[in-house]
Amino acid sequence: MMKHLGTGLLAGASCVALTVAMQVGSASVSFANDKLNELSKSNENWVMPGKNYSSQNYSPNTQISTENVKQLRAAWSFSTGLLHGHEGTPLVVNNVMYVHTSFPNNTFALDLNDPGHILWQHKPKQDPAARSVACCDLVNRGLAYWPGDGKTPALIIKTQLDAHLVALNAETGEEYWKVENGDIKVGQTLTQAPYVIKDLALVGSSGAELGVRGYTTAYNVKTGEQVWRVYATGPDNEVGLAADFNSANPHYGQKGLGTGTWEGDAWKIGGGTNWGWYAYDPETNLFHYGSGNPAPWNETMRPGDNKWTMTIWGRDADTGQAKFGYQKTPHDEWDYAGVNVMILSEQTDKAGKKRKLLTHPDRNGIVYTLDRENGDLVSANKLDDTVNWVKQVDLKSGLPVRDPEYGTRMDHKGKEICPSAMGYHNQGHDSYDPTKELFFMGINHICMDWEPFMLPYRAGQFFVGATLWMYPGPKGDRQNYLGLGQIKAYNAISGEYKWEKMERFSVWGGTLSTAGNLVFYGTLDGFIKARNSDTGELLWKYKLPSGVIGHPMTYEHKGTQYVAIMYGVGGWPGVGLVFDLQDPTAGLGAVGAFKNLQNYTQMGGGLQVFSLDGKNPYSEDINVGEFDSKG
Amino acid sequence: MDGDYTMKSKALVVMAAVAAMITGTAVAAETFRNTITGDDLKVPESSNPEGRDTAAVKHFLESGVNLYTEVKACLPKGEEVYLTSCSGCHGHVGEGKVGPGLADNYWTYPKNKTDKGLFETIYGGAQGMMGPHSDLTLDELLKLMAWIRHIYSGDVADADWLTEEQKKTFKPYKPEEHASADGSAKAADGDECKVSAN
Ligand code: HEC
Repeated sequence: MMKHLGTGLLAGASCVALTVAMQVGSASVSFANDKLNELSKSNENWVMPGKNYSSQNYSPNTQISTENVKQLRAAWSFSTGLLHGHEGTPLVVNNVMYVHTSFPNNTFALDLNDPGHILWQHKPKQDPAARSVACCDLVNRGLAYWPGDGKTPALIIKTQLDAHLVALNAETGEEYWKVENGDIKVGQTLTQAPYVIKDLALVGSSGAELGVRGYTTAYNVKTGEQVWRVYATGPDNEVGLAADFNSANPHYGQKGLGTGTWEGDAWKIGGGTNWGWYAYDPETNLFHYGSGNPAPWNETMRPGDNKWTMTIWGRDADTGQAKFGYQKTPHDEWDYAGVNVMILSEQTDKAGKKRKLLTHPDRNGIVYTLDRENGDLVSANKLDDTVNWVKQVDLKSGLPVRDPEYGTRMDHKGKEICPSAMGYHNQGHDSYDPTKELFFMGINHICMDWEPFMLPYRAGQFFVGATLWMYPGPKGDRQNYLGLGQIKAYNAISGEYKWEKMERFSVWGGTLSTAGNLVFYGTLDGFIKARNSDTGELLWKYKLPSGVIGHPMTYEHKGTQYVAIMYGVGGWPGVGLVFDLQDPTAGLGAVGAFKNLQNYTQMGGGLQVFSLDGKNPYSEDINVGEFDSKG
Repeated sequence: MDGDYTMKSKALVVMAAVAAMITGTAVAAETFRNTITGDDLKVPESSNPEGRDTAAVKHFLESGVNLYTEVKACLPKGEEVYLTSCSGCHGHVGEGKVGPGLADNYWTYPKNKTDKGLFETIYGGAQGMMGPHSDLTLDELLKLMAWIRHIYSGDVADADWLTEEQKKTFKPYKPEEHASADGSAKAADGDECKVSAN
């Protein structure tokens, strides 16, 4: 089960795991935590997918600004050597960039002083059968970094599609430990970027499309020993509910619902995997993420609310126990998997009270803002006025007020449902500018028809049970299958959009905002664009070799600010491109929606880095990276 | 030179035959190659040790021809394997889902029109989520292939895998006319899935 390559192996008994959990609060542990927090504050680093624990994807760097962004040019680039979807963004720590890839999940460390030199590379040999149980192309969303403590070296933590979690020595790339977090034979895979809190490596699960019951696990980052595991469905002790769970909002539901809102044992194959992003508040010691869709998609096969799928969680980092859980889409009928990004902010609410908030643009077309200390619902607004399955979210009860016309059920083909199963927002990692109190959100503008069918559960097989047709939303061009995306600036307190723009294709990967008054993002057809974050005005764009499904990041190196983005089209929107699909319902409906994408971009993964005038280590000193016969 | 060559290859054939006798399994006369990379798939050595020595497998390894095609009694097993391993991605009757349709006359890889090519794609996998399915036994794979050929709904003229005789009687598959409501194949009672290599 566990291969340990660094220090001695701890016994696997759960009481040992508990002991480890208790120790987590100790001094040396919080030291590592502070170190990561400190590192995240530097303009030179990007230590986690969302830059900091608040997952704001915001850089205070002002070097590149609305004034000069027109001079942004290619600085250097790197091919990952792989096709298929490249989601997420690279990490930068202490002058080294760590790049992840699609399956087989290679990892590269690049020297930022001489990026033409690969410091190390880790190329795992995985069981290729893992490919057959991937949901939607062979994506991966990135890496985690643990800064080391003097005894244990700094580590890069990565996921493999074959459900392994691996820790690499950040300096050498050698495997330090490796654990099996799931079994591909029953469809359990991993595509998520792991997450480091204190001395824990957190990782979720993928496979709800194959009936996998979702779980989240914390491992001791030094040993790979499991510390705790909690589930999205099932008995309360397995879901991990604290004694005061939802005490601030009892109407969200409290005890016994992980089994009580299911028929019989359906919760055992009920989905709720979480493969999206995390956020963490060191002050509350709570971390936040969303559990995904119930399985199968065909709602007729699973009566009940299906708790706790589709839930925004606030869980204690040391124990995994949930303080609150808010289910956004009880009894999902559309695959609105609730795994999207959680962005933390401190803002003053309408009543003038300063609050710790969490904002989450959900697949279901609603952007939710909660008080992250207790789960109180602060606002819930439509991502676009064309959302139609729900009329509004009742802030008192927390329940969506549905429009039955857009419900789905057996023996009925639901039509013109907005958003589509892809959601008006998918896995893109968005950004928040705290000085402007604006969220910059990349949007899918896609609707669908949906027809369920019955199917048996077979371990390791797709367990979906719905046929989908997807096409542009009402604001797009349905004739030509274009107008499939939007970019918007949102204020979570007023509920207003400061600006919004249409895009030809989805803004699948998310956004980066900077104190240079800029918002950057990539498009599915392969542009990286910069807009004025106050007005939305388009200021700069560049055509990348392939479409983008990841989010941009920025770092400073030797006084120069760089912007980096991964390209490599794929993922769910790209499944039709990845192979030669012709049937419009194929690719779980993605092929129809994106049938024109092939006329704009093709597969190919890599990284492109920009700077003002293209300044880079080689332009500064032409001899960098040259063969030196003396050396 | 020529003579030498012939002798060598004869010797090889003899050795292969001996090996086949010793192990009791067939040895491939055909070389099976990965659809994407062209690498030798090393069939049968790399295959599931079970189900290697049926008459149909032996015949297939030597000739690349699947004797189970349109043998009614062999279809139910093929359908069972298809529903368990493939239908989630390719659809209940090969109509296509996350993977492409398998029942129409459009092939991404035209070689899939031959039994050998279809076998290679299934056994070794193709791009992306089309992983290798070499865990199935060779005999199961042949029955599975027969089922895929059976649910073909395209023009018979394009069905290169059928013999001229078979083409005369083959009817493109219509799920709604199928024996039972859920589309499963039923062999008549007492029918046994048997083929002979002659
Ligand atoms: C996880 C999803 C998945 C499963 C399970 C799966 N396939 Fe596929 N299959 C695909 C995808 C995706 C492609 C397209 C790959 C490409 O174009 O290279 C494909 C392609 C194919 C092709 C090539 C079709 C052509 O047009 O040339 C064949 C044949 C095939 N699959 C047969 C099977 C069989 C038989 C099984 C069951 C043993 C199976 N597949 C299981 C996803 C899957």
